Amino acid sequence: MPALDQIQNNTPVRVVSIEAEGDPSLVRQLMHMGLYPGARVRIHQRYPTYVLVADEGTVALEEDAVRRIRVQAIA
Amino acid sequence: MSDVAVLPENKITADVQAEPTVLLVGHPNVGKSVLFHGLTQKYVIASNYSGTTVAVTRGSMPYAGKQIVAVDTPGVHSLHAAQTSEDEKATRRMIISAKNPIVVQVAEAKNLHRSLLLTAELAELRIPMILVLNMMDEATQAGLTIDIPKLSKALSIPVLMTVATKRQGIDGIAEQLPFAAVPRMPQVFEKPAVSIICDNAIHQLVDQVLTRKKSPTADLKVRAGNLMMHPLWGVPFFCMAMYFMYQFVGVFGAGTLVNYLEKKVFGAYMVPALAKAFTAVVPLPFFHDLLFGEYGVISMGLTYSLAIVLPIVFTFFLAFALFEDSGYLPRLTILSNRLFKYLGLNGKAILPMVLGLGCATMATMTTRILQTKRERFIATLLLAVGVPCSAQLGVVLGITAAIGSWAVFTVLGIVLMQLCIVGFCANLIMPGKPSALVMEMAPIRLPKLLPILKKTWYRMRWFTREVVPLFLWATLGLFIFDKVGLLKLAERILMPVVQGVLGLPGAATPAFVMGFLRRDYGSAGFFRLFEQGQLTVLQTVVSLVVITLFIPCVAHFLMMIKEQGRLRAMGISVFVVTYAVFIGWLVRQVGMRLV
Repeated sequence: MPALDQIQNNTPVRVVSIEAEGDPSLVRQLMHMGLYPGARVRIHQRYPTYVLVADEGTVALEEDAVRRIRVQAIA
Repeated sequence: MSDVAVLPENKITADVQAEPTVLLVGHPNVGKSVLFHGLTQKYVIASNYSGTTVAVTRGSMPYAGKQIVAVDTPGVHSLHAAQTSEDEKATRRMIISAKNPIVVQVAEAKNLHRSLLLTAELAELRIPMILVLNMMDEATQAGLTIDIPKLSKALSIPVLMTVATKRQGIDGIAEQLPFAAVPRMPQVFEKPAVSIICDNAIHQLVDQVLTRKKSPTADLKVRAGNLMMHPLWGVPFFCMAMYFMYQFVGVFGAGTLVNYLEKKVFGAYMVPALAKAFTAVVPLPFFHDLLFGEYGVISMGLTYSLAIVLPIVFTFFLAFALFEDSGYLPRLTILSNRLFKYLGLNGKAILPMVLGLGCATMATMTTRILQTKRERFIATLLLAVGVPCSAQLGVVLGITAAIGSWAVFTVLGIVLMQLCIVGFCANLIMPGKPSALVMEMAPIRLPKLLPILKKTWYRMRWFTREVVPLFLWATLGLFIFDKVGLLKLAERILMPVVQGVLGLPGAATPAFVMGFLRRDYGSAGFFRLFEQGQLTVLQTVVSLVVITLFIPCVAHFLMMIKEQGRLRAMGISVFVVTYAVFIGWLVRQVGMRLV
């Protein structure tokens, strides 16, 4: 399963899981910002900081966190 | 402060007869405050909750023929015990320590899934609640329909739809309060797994009650928002915002308003009239001096805080609230994140830093929004070193502009450079790393006048309550110091530094001593010397650089003690003074070789 940072800008994908290793509170934070497993998300911009647009929220993140988000193509 | 629904832990199991406390809880930016104001008749108190910068508002609302207390809690992303932010800790603490609490969860109808996540966490607290789906109009516009009865049945709690801005459905909340219950929710986070695959229960529930239709998106607001955070177009937008700020705060606030209030209202009418009336009643020269003398509590302390600082702070807060409510600040956070990383901070530091341009004292307090102790310390240090507050900035700009535009850029450039150097070194020296930015972006919304005025009003009130008394006390201290000769002593001690190291005339010393009370007064003292021809251009530049980097005003110093503790505040101050003098000396050396 690819990590979200591998996906091209503005291509909607579905969140499968979030790697919590080393930062367990991150998963919870992201879920409450709309990046829960099953949510549709796309990358809006990468520079100077990642901006992700999901169905239920827009989130600014750094690259390290974006790599933790595993996604799959929308069927 | 103490009466903001914070009661001792042992009062949790209150008797059933006691009146309940209603707590509004929800994610940030769901219209909670608008709903609160619609729900409560009169507000009783609005104060800064200890440990947060967010105002906690308390009001009263009808319940079973009586008036009961309702509390608007700070917006939270999660209520789990492992949460990080001060707001979340405060809200959680308020819920579990409230007497007979009933939670009204305010949720954005559009974001049902994440709202139910919070419901699940509230369910874990075992407190009766109802769920209010607000901004129903936006959800409908987005093509969403929610089966409310089904959702209510599944959760076994009352669920309501509202549009708080239009007062739709608000009355139903009071009616449903008696039916509040602990929601039937499966535990979502049973195990702290390494990666959570799916929170099935909530998914299934959302699927059952929500129907989605495709709807066209990308309107003007979204486009404007995208422009503001664009790596390229964001820059001219930022310049425009700063220019607006300069015109409104610097030219209108610090110029027009201050001139009128200080020279006309206070200088020509109020202070002389008060002085005359006072002398007629109490004909004692000592008391006259105390109130109306050179360092008089009224003639200097009150005039300064109300006629000079207040109008500047007022215009600044107004502009700042506009940035906040329009959603511009989070976009600025994105643009600045990388730069702040070099200084040991992350983009969230833009809030205290920009606020520092208004009032560094208040900005020092808002460093609480930063996640780690390390970041709070660095931000406090930077605010002390070189973020000039609006009062000071006004004077510095005034003087440098009289010399020439190159002087403006030189002084501000040198100060900005020190800010970067100090932040960079602090990041290098202090153990640890700046924390990663994780931030939800509020959508761009057209700011509404009333909430902006309200916010400005609360901040002004905070300022007059917390900062103005400090100025008055400080003036009193100054008066006493002057009377017993300590002021002269301080000047004598500083004299060698001012003359020898900085190469300034001895007459400049009082300006430095005064600069501690009011940063801009120090600068203004230099202005007078410059006008009188006692300072050369180089000397003026040196003094302005030193006074800007120098310790902030006494109110700021006291706030640093409050936030960082005595030891760190003293440490910061000693460093800042030494550093300011060193840079002043350096500027003089470089300047002498250039000129």
